[in-house]
Amino acid sequence: MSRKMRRKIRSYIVFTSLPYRIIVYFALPVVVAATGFWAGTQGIGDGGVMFAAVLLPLAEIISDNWLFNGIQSRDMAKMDYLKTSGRGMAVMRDALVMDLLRKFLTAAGSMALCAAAIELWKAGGMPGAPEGMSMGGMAGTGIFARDFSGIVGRFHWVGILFYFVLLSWFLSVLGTFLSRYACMVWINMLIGYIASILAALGLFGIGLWQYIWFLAAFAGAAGVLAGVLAVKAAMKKVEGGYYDK
Amino acid sequence: MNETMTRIKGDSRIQDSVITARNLRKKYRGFELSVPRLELPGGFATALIGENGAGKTTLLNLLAGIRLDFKGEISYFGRQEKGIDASVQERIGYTGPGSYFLPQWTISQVEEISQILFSNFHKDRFSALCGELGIGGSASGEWGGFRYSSREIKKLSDGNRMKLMLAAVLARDTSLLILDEPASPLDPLMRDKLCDMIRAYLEEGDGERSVFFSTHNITDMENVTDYAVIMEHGSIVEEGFVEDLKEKYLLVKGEAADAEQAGKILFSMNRSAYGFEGICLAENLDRLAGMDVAVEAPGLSQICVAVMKANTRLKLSAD
Repeated sequence: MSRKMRRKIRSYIVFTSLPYRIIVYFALPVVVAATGFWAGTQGIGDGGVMFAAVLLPLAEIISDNWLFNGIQSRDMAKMDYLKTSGRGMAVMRDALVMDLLRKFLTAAGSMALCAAAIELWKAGGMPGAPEGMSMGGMAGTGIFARDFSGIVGRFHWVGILFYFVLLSWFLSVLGTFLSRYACMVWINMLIGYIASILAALGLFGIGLWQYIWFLAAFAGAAGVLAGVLAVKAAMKKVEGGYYDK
Repeated sequence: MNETMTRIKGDSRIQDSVITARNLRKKYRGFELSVPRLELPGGFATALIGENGAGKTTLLNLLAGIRLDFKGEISYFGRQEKGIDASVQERIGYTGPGSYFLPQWTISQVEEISQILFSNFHKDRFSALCGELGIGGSASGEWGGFRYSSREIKKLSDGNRMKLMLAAVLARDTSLLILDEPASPLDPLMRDKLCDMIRAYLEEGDGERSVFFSTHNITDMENVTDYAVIMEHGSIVEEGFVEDLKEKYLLVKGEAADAEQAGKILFSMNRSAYGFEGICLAENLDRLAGMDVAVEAPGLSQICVAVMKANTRLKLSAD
């Protein structure tokens, strides 16, 4: 890893408190993956990953209150300490960008963990699975199917996983971007719930599994756009402090 | 004021100006900061004094480089280049009121972030200072424990927040401290300690370090003040070394019978049933001849109040 990258990562890590690091870096992906796995073992198999995709935006948006709470709001803390250093604005920008990257890695990691755990569970004979579940899923769309990979093929199943990851990431980024205009945790919760509902609706996109890679690319592009907006809006506000904006 | 500055430059004890500002102007709605010239003597502690809204914080913000929308020129440490850059910022430690740190940061995060922001930050010195100031850590440089280091800034009292800011700036190797109202949130004991810390900072710098602080607690900070700048309505109305100001202004006390006549001569005056007390310009002392008055050297606080009274727009009496 280059020195520049290490510096960027460090810039992000110092913005996070020890409890945040323990909960968001480690506990959050494990809990999300475990919840998805548990849902999968309740009879929906590979569909358990969808639980992870729906849960993640909620968790990310609420936990952002702990990190960059209200950074774009009118009453934001002006962070004069950062402004007293020539490196302050670069550190701030690096932290914001690395947070987006961390969100992506959390989404990818937790859903990969969930999918792998479910795969192992299926390979082990699905102990504890309820009887009578349809292999084809809801209304033949594949949604809530026990065995996506068997229905759509390995290539498209990987595409579906990518789509889940990128959809969840996009909504996490969009939600945190919007929630940073407010300082109250209940706003984060409200936006988190809305993002989760949107994620749940977005999951119906897998009905178009033949085009899933296209949908994944679309979700990824939307995520990048939301990320650029999030960084630009936050930096505009922070740098605006130099000019009473 | 020009005479004073000439004397400053001619004084062999004094290093070059640590900050030189020319034609500083900054406008807000209903307020304008206008400082045609400001030269802060290097190697000394300079107090910035003025009533609320006089422009002290605005001036300090401009000098510290955390407000950039102003007109005029500022040069630092005798450099030819105007304005502030990263190398200058590295040499300046600034503490300010209000939103200085992010409220959700913990004390240990302040330590980590400071290490990234400033190459001259010393972690051990920081935790030792935190220990010394009673906000966690220990004098040996070790943290007192999770309880302190994990405390969020928003949960600290105003006084402890100020101590944390002071620890963060004093843990660096700087040449200039710009402190906005450092004494206000501190208890009397800590104010005394603050004076000791400022004095120690200057002494360790051996003439290479300077401190510029604003204060309303003139009496508490007088023993550390070498030079004073008094502001009113966005302008500097008086400045000079404290010892020079104490020669320029004199404290005069007299009988009530002479109050009326003395009032026309004194710079400012307080009257009571028993007599009067006021500040007189030394050059006007002869005009008090014939009156039964006692003359003393005034305190800095008395000089400042007199100068502020003479320049204020506040209505101070009922008449």
